[in-house]
Amino acid sequence: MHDRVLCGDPRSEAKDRRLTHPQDGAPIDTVQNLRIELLRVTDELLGARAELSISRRTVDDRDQQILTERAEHERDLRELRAAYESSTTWRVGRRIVTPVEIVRRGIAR
Amino acid sequence: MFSIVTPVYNTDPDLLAEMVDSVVHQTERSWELLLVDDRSPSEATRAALGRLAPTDPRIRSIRREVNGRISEATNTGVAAASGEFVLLLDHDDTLVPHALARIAAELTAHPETDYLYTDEDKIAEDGSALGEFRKPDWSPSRLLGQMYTSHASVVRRSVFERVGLLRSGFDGSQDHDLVLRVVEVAREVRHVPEVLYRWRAVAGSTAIDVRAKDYAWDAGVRAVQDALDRRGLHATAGHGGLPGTYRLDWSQQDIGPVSVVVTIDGVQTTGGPLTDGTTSGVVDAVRSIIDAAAGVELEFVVVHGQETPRAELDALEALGRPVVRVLADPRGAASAARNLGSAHASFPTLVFLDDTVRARSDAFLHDLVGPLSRSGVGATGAHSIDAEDRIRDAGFRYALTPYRRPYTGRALDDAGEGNALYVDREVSAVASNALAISAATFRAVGGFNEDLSGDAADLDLGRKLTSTGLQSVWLAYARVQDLRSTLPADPSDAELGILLARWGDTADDPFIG
Repeated sequence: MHDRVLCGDPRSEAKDRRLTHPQDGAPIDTVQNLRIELLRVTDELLGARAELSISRRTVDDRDQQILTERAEHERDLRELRAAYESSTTWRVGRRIVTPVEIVRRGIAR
Repeated sequence: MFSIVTPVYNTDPDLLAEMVDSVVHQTERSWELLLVDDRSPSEATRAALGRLAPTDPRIRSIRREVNGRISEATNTGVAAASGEFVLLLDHDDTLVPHALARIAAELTAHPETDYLYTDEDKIAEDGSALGEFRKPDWSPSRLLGQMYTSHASVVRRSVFERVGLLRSGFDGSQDHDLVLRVVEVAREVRHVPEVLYRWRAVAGSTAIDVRAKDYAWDAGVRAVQDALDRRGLHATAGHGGLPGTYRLDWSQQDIGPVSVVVTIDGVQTTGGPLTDGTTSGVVDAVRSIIDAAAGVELEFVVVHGQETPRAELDALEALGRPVVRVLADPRGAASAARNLGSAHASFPTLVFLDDTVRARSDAFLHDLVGPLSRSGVGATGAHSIDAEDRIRDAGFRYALTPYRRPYTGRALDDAGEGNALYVDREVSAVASNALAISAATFRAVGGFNEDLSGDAADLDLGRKLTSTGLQSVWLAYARVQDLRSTLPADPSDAELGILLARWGDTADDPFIG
């Protein structure tokens, strides 16, 4: 039984310093340390992908929300206009006209 | 169109009329109801069929020449069916009025669906409610442990015919046998999380007590075994701890060499002293694994801290198995210690084990590792009990606001919703105090996130597996005891922030409501 080369341990006797950890500069000088670094990088990659996916979904959701709100707004507008055009009347002289007719036909009050 | 197939045998005329009434009043109009009289001796039943069939042109009554029991009678109905989907409706049960409409909407939205199931509730003979069964989303491990999809189930008729209809040798669990075969060829399986079916609990019905039909339980064992054999899995099906449940014994499976990564409590941030007052139990932990791993080539990678008693570490030598000792960075958390241990492991399968954990079931290692041979299984987790024999871990639920640990603290004999604590099942994540995963999978998902600890790190690993198309499976019969006196703390705000940024939140976990 033995203790293997220690990750990040100051007693490490590693000599090869071509690969170093980006944060603390510790050498990546063994298969084990390389594996750990790969785990860290892969975790970051999967995490970043997941965050990107969440962001895209959020954008999609908001786009859909805007489309829905716009459609609802347009429908409300149509309903208001229809109600306005059909139900509101004015007496102009002897005539009963809607406000739209007043505007379109230039009927003076 | 739906073809609703209902075998009828000596059915109470009132219940039969109620069942037919529930079909006739469906808001979805595209259906046919095939009532298959399996040679009922009861004149009242035959008379009821004679009265009910003419009430709607979509109802057809078919009388068999000989009694064939449930499977043959159902097959008679399916042979006469013309709908695209078959729904099996028991003669004394009912559909809620919008059942077919809701199912039709789901099938339209997901046109590749070949099999669909819904939630159900049970009603007493007088019609009063006995309780709902809110089911998990598609859970293939759970289907091997119990017929959880049950009613209402809809099968594409072409698939029903392709798998060879119901098999009379499995009467009593013929529906379980059918679904096990259907899901092997189905392009998509879907769950509608709404109660659309009312299962009437009459005397002798499995809705009341599965023991009422012991022959059904035995047939279920055969159905599960047949599925295991078809799928080339070297496991043996047996009766589970509760009627209607099944357990898989993986002791005959060659699980290959296993690296057991043992992290010592002293290097973790989440643990506390053991209940016996010591701080390290690594020798006992390793010994318990050796005792429950007959014939398995083992390597132990022990990740320890400076404060770990030297005598403990030296005692490992006497156990006669290869042990690699790795001194952990004192700044690191449990996740870093586990990653460190995995980097020093040399075998293709990893088992993570805390030194506070003891194997408590025979063939524990086979039962923990064996299910990894199933397609789609990324990680497995043990059924973990605490020092006072209460449930500690039975699978995590992914829902962060608020976060809660499901099942923790419940009595060991608690069945859980729908007997969930007596069957293997997919979960969002499993606890890392006793967890198995292939080394290749562990590396492919980047191991444990070292910025997270405890439950948060486990949840993150589960989500990473899911993002690569793999599932975590909690195992009801691979049991360990964790001697820690404390539970891991809930995720911190910083940890919740990481999880939320990566995976978002959800109100409902797909597997644990």
